Formats: sequence, C-alpha cells, structure tokens
Amino acid sequence: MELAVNFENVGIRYGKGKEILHNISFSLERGSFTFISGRSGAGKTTLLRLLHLAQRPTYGSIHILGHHINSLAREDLPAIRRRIGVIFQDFRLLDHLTATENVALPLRIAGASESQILSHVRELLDWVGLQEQKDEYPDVLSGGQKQRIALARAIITRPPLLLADEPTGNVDEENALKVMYLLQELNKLGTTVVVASHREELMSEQNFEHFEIVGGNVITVRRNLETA
Amino acid sequence: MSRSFNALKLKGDPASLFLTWAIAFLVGLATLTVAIFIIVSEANIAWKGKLWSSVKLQIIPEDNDDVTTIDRKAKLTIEFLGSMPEVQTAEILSQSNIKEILERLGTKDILKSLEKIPLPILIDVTFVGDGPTDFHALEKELSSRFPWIQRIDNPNWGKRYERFFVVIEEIAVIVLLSILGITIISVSYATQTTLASHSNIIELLHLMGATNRGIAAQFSDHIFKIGLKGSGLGILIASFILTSIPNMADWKNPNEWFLPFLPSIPQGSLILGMGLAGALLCMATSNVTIRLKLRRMP
Repeated sequence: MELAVNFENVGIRYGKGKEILHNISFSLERGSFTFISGRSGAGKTTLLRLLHLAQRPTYGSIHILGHHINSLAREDLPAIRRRIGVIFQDFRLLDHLTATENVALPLRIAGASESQILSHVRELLDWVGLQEQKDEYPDVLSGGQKQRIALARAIITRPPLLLADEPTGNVDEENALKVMYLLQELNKLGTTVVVASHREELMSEQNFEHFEIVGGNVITVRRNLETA
Repeated sequence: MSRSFNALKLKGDPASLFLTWAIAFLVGLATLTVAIFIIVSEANIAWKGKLWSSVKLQIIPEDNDDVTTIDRKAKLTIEFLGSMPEVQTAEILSQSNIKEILERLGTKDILKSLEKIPLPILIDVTFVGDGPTDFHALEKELSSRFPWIQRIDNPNWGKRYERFFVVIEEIAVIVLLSILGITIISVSYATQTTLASHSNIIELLHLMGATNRGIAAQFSDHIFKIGLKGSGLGILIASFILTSIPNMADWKNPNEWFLPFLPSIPQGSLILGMGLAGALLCMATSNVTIRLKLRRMP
C-alpha cells in the first residue's frame, strides 16, 4: 500500500527546551482517515506542524507524499505545501477578504486562471452550503460557517492530504457533525485525512486509525477499521 | 506561479503612513542637495571661465601726472598687451562701464559721491582660452615694464572660489550619501515593522504554498507606490523652495541672478528623475529586506 506519510524516529524540541515529541514512528496510508488525540500540550499541534511543513524535525526522517522532507531545499517546500490542505482550530480566515476571496486564495497562490477559480469556488461554496454567504466578510459569519469556509479553502486545490487541527473545537454539536460528515465525504473521494481532536465521541462513529500522543513520548495505535 | 495574489492588507498601515512622509522629506532634501550640487558645479565652471580668462588692470596716476601722461601710459600698456600671444583683447573700459562696476560693488549713492573725483583708468584684458598658465610670471613681467599698473586680483579670488565650490560639492555628495543611507534604513525598518504586524497572515500564505518571491512582491509593490507618492511630494516641496529662491532674493530677471538658473541647465532635468529613483530604491530595499526576513521563517 502506498504511504502518504511516514515518520521514522522523529523528535522535535524548540531551542534548548525539552523535547515536545520524542522518537516517534508511524505511517499513514494513502486514502486513510486518522485521528490524533492527546491531552492539551501533548504535542498534537506540533505533530500537525511537522505534517504541514511549518516545522522541521530536530532529528529523524519524514516522508510526505513521496518526498523526503529532511533533504528538501526551502524553494521546494511551496510546491509540496500546495498539496497539503490545512484547517485550523481558529479558522485563520482573512478578515479583509470575503468568503469567496478567502476560499479562492490557495488557487490564486497557485496561479490558477480566474475562470477556474470562480467555478471551483462556486462549486465548493455549494458543497459546504454557504453559497448565500459568498460575499460576506468573516466577522459576520457564525463559528460553524467560518469553519466550513476554512474547510472549503483547505480543499480547493484538491490536496491529497488534508490536516485538521481541532476542526470541531469552536463550533456547536450540529456544526461539528456537519464538518465531520464533510471530512468523511472527502476521505471517500480518496483524500488522506488527519484530524487532531480531543473529542473521543466524534471518533467512535468513524472508520479510522487512532494515534494517541502521551506526553509527546509515545504514540499508541488503535484501529477501528470496518469494511466499507 | 502567479505573483498577482493580494492577501495582505497593507494600505493604511501605520508604518506605511510614516514612510510616505519620511520619503517625502528625504527625497525633498536629496532633490535640494542635487540641485545645489548642479548649481554650484555650473557656477564654478562659469565663474572659473570669467575670473581666469580676464583681468582688469588699473593705471595708478602719480602725483604730477596729467591726463596726457596717464593716457600715454595706458596706450603703452595696451600696445604691449596686444603683442602678447596669450592676450585676446586689451581695451580701456569706458567711464560708463566703470560706473556700472562701482555701482555693482557699492550702492547707487556711491556715484553721487564720486562725481567730483576723477575715475581711475581700467584696462580690461581677456586671454585666449582659460587664461595664461602662469599668472605670477605675467604679473612680474608687467610690473617690471610698467610700474604704474596694478592688477585687480581676479585669479586669486578665482582660486578661493574654486576651492569653496569644491568643498560645497563634497559636502553635497556626503549629504546625498547620508540621505541614501537614512532612506534605506527607514524603508527597511518600516518594512520589518509591517512584516511583523502581518506575520500570522504570512505564515498562513506560506502554508498555502506561497513563495517568498510572491509575498515579497506584494510588499515591494506597496512600498513602490508609497515611494512614488512620497517622492512626488518631496519633489514638489523641493521645487517650491527652488523656485522661491529668486523671489526671496529679489532677482527679477535671469540676468540679475547671482547663480545659474536651474531650469536653464541641462542637468536640471535630473531633478525629475529623483522621484522615480527614490521609489525604485524603496522598492528594492523593501524587497531585499523581506526576502532576508522570510528566509529565516520555517
């Protein structure tokens, strides 16, 4: 089976501080759906930062989407980052851009044509059910709407790997379920999805792999895979 | 990769507002400095030519000299000067020319007080080219042949003026280099401040796959516009000051102006290029600053 992510004995520390992640090894198959759980401060966000190339490991080897990250030059990172979608817990929408402009941003960065951008944005806003809010600025949108805009933005370039940091952390139950449903839909289409969340109840209903980070030192693996 | 995405809200940024006026001030100062440099250089060339290529000799009458004697002395002097290869013309200045010179040196009232006093006889000598190479030798020869003449010391003044002009030119260059340094520091500082206030968005853009080049382009385009605006303002201010000088000095027509008139000097058009040069300098500084900073980001 082809791997989307492979970590071998990876560790990270900031400056001279203590190690946040210690000697972790795991791999994610392409098209898999993975939960990463752990207590606050366990290192979930750091792990996601390693996955979306916001951070390089202090030691160990990382392969993502077929690239050996440790040996990549800085100039090579943007092309790989464009193949990784990220959803942030705090959405990180740009307040001075409308919903449409926010969703379109990754395509603009990638240099897509205006017609391509418009059709993709329309399609995605329909998919997340926010076509009516397309011209609204983030400050008038609800938490759930913001999260769905962030989801649309993360997947507009059709990335093979999607990372979500507490995607249900700032939304109510109904919106949390909607977001999880959308992530599952994407996974069915072949996207490798990684969700960092402390909400165990969301995991029980999914087909998933579950990695738990304990104190940044150990990753335990539980599997809950059923035949679709 | 497209460089046209525009995700940073840079317009109205406090550092940008500061930068507009800082650039206006610095470009204004640089424009004035360049203008002064051009004017002084031109004045140096013009005055050097005038002072070194001509000399005025005065016939000093002795106690018992009558008009005929003085005329004879003047005639002898002119004949000798006319025979010298380096002399182009040698002629006695008319009374009206002398009055004009005296009026320039003194006041209008001076002529009234001079009415009863005989005016000196002045011989205006112009030399071929920029004048003789050795004034001292010439002076020595003239003094030994014609003890009654006294030289009005143009060349000595010329040397002093020349040195003075060179010092002013050197100061102008130092001031210009200082302005260049301050401009680079100001733009770099303002860019870093703006960068720091947008670091969250920049990290987000990086994670979406934006290149350093693309992000730096947004900043440098913005700083270029600020540079053009600031430079335009600076040139306007400097132009206002430069055009006000003749009015302030009460020079009513170009012939009265003590210094060369900037618009009549071909290099004067350099001033207009100062704005664009200022804006391009700002853009380049901003681009380099951003790229150096972004290189340190993960």
